[in-house]
Amino acid sequence: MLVPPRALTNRVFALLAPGITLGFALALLAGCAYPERNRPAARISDRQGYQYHLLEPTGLEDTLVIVTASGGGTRASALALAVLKGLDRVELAGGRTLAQEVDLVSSVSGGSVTAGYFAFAGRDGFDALERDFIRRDGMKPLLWGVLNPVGLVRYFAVPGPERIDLLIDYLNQQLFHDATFQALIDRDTRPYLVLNAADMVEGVPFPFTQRKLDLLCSDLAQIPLAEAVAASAAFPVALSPVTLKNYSPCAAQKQPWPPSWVTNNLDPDGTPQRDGIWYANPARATLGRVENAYALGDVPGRDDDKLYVHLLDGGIADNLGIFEPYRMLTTQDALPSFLTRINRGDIKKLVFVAVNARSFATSELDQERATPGMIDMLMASINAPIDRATAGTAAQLRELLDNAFRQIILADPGKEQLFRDLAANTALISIDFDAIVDSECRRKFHAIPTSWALSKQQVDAVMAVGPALLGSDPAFADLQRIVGGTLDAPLPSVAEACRLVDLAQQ
Amino acid sequence: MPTFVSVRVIHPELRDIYLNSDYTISAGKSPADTFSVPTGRTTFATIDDDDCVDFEAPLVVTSQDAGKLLTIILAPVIPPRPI
Repeated sequence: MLVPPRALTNRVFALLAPGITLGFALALLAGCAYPERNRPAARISDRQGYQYHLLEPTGLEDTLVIVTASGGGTRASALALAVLKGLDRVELAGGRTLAQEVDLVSSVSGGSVTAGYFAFAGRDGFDALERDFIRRDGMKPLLWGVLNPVGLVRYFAVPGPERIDLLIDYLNQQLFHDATFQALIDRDTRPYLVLNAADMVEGVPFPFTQRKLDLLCSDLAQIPLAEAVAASAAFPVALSPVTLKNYSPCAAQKQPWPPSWVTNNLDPDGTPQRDGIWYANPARATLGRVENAYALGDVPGRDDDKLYVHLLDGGIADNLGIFEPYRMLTTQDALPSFLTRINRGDIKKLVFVAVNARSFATSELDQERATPGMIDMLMASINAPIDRATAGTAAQLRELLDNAFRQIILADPGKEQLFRDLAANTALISIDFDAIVDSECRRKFHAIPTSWALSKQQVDAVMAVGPALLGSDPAFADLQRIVGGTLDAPLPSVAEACRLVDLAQQ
Repeated sequence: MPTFVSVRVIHPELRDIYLNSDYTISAGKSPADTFSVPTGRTTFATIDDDDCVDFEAPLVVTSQDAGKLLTIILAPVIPPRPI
């Protein structure tokens, strides 16, 4: 760990002292006050707000195109953008590109910056995203926001900003300019955006969807995009959680409340142990209990009220952002239910691109006898669950979907042709540094740090490896066949990307 | 790992069926269509011309039911409930 020289420490302290003094004085005068992140909803209905079915459909009506983007700081933002740019190179009949046909983008943490901006600005925003965020040093403004005296005074204002506000402010300044989900409603076009944070108490994903916010009786349309992206990227300890107030129960909620899609996953009173929902479907049961707690909110006489939801980096629960799309594909609990649309025969083809920017930064701990220090232990306790929420999940996606579709065919032989056709017209592509065959090149990509600041060479390498891995995936030919797409020019090769990552290491 | 069953609604007939309070899209028609649902509980419903739920029933599916074709009869909702 770096220890600043005493002279520098003294100078920094001299700079900060007035701010700290004033800040503490204000804080003492004001007591505790927290920023209000969300407003109550005036109306709750599946037929209004930010809903998949209310957005203008894309041109490929019978083809569902899903892109998921993992966490991993700017490395993840860059890899997601690189893959979207690769999809933009796939030209379709009618002059459109595959990037314009993405129906759903679901993301976590660093991937959420790209996903959020893609939903906000479309392919026209690619250049701005790269110029104003990915190729900028995002660490300096975040650190300076804490260290400068003006920032410190603001820190103790009433209601005072929290550490997460540094990231929210930066995202607003660079990309979102205070736009809220209302901007996505007004834009009225897909992709439908699912930004995933994690409920730090329950340890489950918290997607910023209309249905989820309706449970809290909160108005999604008024939530700033930068706030939702920051919640998705609120790396534990370094950044504070985004805390949403639970306004439930409220007059806008219709009876029966909680809605049946929540209570269906609960065991009614008197249910025999062996008939518990958990035995039938543990994922639905676990999520149902949390969603029921959101929906009940403040219940007189109970001491386990869920009055607030504290949201941290979505990577804690699902670092690939695939949980909610998978739920949409295999249940009728989420809106939209793609399972219902597949059953109806509306969806006949599926393209699923999972972008995984997972890294394995080299650690010297395994080479040293010395007991790891507090910082090392803290980082390990944060990173371990995030890595666990990533590893192997993309590879399991095909197995999960294959198994689900096989089960459906078993249950209903009449649907066999429907699901066999879907299986034949499905392209599941996993973009992952692990796919790189060259071990030295793979190691170098894994060594790119998780940070909001990458060097030009590192960004160049990631921007090249994204389309290279897309084009080299064996399923890419299926993808082109399914959507009837052609490439305007060959995508970069993995070898070219490896040459660039060599430069980044020098 | 979820398993699935197939469900046919035999009453009321010739109605659009909505699953799990998703009234934004009909999952199909009774009794002709079959509906693939995961294990756990799913609510089947119909809505009338006034956008009110007029028939409804929950169905609990256990993993022992996996691979089966089940049938369900929806009960009238009196009075019909606005969605």
